[in-house]
Amino acid sequence: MMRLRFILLFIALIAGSASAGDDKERYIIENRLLKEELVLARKPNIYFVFNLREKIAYINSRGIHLRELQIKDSHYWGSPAPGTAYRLKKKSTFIEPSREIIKPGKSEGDFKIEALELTDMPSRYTLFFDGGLTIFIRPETKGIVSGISNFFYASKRFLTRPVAMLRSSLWGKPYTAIVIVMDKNDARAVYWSISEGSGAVAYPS
Amino acid sequence: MFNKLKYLRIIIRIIIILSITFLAIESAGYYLGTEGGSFGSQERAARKAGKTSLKALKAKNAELRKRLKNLTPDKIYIVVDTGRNMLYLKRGDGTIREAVVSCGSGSILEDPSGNRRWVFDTPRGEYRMQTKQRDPVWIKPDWAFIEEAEEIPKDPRKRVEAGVLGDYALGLGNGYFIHGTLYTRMLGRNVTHGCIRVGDKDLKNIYRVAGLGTRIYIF
Repeated sequence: MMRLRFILLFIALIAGSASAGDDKERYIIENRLLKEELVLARKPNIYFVFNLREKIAYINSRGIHLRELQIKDSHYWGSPAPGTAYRLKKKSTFIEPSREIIKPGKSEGDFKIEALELTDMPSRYTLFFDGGLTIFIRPETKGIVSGISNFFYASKRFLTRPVAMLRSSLWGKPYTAIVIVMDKNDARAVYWSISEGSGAVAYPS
Repeated sequence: MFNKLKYLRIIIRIIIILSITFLAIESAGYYLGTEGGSFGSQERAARKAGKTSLKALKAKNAELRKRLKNLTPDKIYIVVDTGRNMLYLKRGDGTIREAVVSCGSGSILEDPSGNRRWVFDTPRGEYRMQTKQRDPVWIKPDWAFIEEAEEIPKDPRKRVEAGVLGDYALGLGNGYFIHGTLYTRMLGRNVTHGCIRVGDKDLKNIYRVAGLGTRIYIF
């Protein structure tokens, strides 16, 4: 009985110290990311914060949360804990929303709105950042159509991601892939606001 | 029958070989990607360097959060969501007033000469209110004439148009304004040439409470 108690105490001590170490590592990463965010916030631009732990994405400027968007789910793949701010290199989607070309002479009185609006934005797209971070945004599964397309995209990523990781590793480049599931309109809002050169910070889960 | 079995065996072998190859690539990718990535080594270095206590780390992070929070203006500021066509008049974390607005259409206009091109987006980022005008007049830029397929006038007086910007215009710089509109039915839609159109009552309120230098965040 006494021996069992010692064993349990030993396990508790080991588990406790491991957890403290994890906490410490988390705070170190958080510290570095907060410093990076502070650098982004000093400029008059819009930047993005993906907090995978709190499951919230923020559209920020000067440290102000201009908009909060709920992350329904997220999956992490590749190099652990991105510890820097990133710049968006490219956003990619299957069919990119196209801008209307105005035909001179057609006045506003015609009342046919030829505009690029939030509803024209895709809800399934990929954000390629510098430093090897790729964020896949997709809407949550609602109905058969989104279910099938989510299954199709998940399968595609399952096949392509290991190859991308292997290639990056062989070239000595980091590769981190994050899949973020959001409400359809929230995913559109991120696509609408993010543009090439936008800064982003991703707090790991 | 014998041939069919033979083919079946070949197909099964191909599937097995492909599966093994795929799993090998997957395992190698996963192993190299997670262990060999530079972030992993960064974290290890950080851990080695991290001799600070947990309490001190928490305090440091709280301080950094405070510094971020301190960047929020202590006076009234304006937030414009160009996607949802909403304007928020804010102080601190609180919202004083919400207004439905119209932002840029994102459309493109090309000069028939082929030398110039305009993209009618509302600019994003942080701005400051630079001017405040009552009963503003619109000095029509070149694109306004090109859009209407009209000749660009040489006389600057022919560019002046009164009444179209509503009762007030708040300038953000570079020819962009928060102003009133004749097309109130279009509020909530992206129809402008980059300016932010606001309904009369909301505009009057914004004009009254937001002074010169007020920060405007557009996203």
